[in-house]
Amino acid sequence: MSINYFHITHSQQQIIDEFCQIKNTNLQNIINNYIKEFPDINDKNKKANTIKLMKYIFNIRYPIYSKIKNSFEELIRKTKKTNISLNTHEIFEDTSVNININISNYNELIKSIEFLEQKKQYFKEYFKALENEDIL
Amino acid sequence: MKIFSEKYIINHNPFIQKIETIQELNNEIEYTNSIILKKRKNQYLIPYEYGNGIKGKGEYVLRWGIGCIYDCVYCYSKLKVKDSNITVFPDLYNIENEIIKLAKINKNLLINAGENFDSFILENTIPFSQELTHIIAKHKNVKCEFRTKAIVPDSFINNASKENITIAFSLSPAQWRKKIEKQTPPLDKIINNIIKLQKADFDIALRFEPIILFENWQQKYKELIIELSRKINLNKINSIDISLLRLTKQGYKKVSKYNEIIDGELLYHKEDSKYRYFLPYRIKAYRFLINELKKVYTGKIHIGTEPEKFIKKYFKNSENKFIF
Repeated sequence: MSINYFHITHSQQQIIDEFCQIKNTNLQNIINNYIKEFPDINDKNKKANTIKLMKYIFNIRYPIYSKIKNSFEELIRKTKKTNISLNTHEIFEDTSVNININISNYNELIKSIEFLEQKKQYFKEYFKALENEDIL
Repeated sequence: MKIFSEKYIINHNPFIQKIETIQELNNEIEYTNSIILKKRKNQYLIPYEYGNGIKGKGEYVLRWGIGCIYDCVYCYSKLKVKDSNITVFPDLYNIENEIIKLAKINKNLLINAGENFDSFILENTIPFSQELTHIIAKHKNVKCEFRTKAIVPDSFINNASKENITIAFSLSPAQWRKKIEKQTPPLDKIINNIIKLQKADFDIALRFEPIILFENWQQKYKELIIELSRKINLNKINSIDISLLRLTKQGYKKVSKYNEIIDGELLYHKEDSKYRYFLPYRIKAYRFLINELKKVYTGKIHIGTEPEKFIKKYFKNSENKFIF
């Protein structure tokens, strides 16, 4: 697969350039490695390909940060389309998470508590990832 | 380097008059590779700006020079310099006036005389730091910290006043000193200099900053701490500061050609517009360093340039004697 399957913006190119310099590689090598790992790439959608490629680069460039970011994003996904929203510091500098529950009656409160109870494992994983020195 | 001075500096500062090689500055001439002595147009002493959310020691920075003879890859001081000259403001006459004014409103005035400009790189040529110690000695509620990566010369050791002054050495592992702090004296010479200063009863502090998390950083810092504990009397050390690399946007750009530095997970903090290592790295690095230091040192340890929240959350309950 060639570079033509991607639409890379100027700011993305800067990130790629820095990455190539640090890892002593080039974009074609990155793409080749990416394809090995994710062979099911959609070759008709340049934008989606680029988002995936950038995420792939980001995960290698910032291995620990991306691990925690992905862990928090997983939490967000789990609460999507519910009355619960989650917020934290942009780069996890403040480790606290704000949980906002929007309820209009008692039943909604009980349901929200039950929902959070069911998802607590994801919270556990997130906090474990954030404060565990062994991940380094 | 040749020295050129404004007439005002020569006329108002007797110690400058003793420098034989000094020439009067001609504003018509564009100087290169020279030492230019000038009077500041603004304040000499300003409060240290640590950045939003960062609690420091409340010291005042003495801005007495611009430029450096060393070439530390992370340093911001050279970013401010537009030519090859070193500009010095050795205007002790006005500096003392500012000290007197500030000492009236600050019961314990702390001056940092080496934050923007190394306290000793020019000491052999312009004995500014030596002269400043005599001013500090006159004011009982004023303390001054001299900061350096250089060798403190014998002329200073033999003639400076020791009252209320601390000489803080900025240290890093020997191999990295050669690599990223180019032209700075080798570590063994610095250690010998510290031994000499301790024998002469000077108050010494150590500053491990900026700490860069190169590959194998734990081993290198462990070796450095052991070497220091074997060669110098750590129990007589005033304090040890530890501070991980912190970069402005401009600084990040400057170090971006050094893969070993930017390979680290340095993230941009909007709060104080600085790049820092990602949180878990900082927790781990400070815990490691404190632990290693505690094995050989019982004095004060100060974590520098970190948000107050960070220190309170991860280090406030520690057994260490932290100062904030």
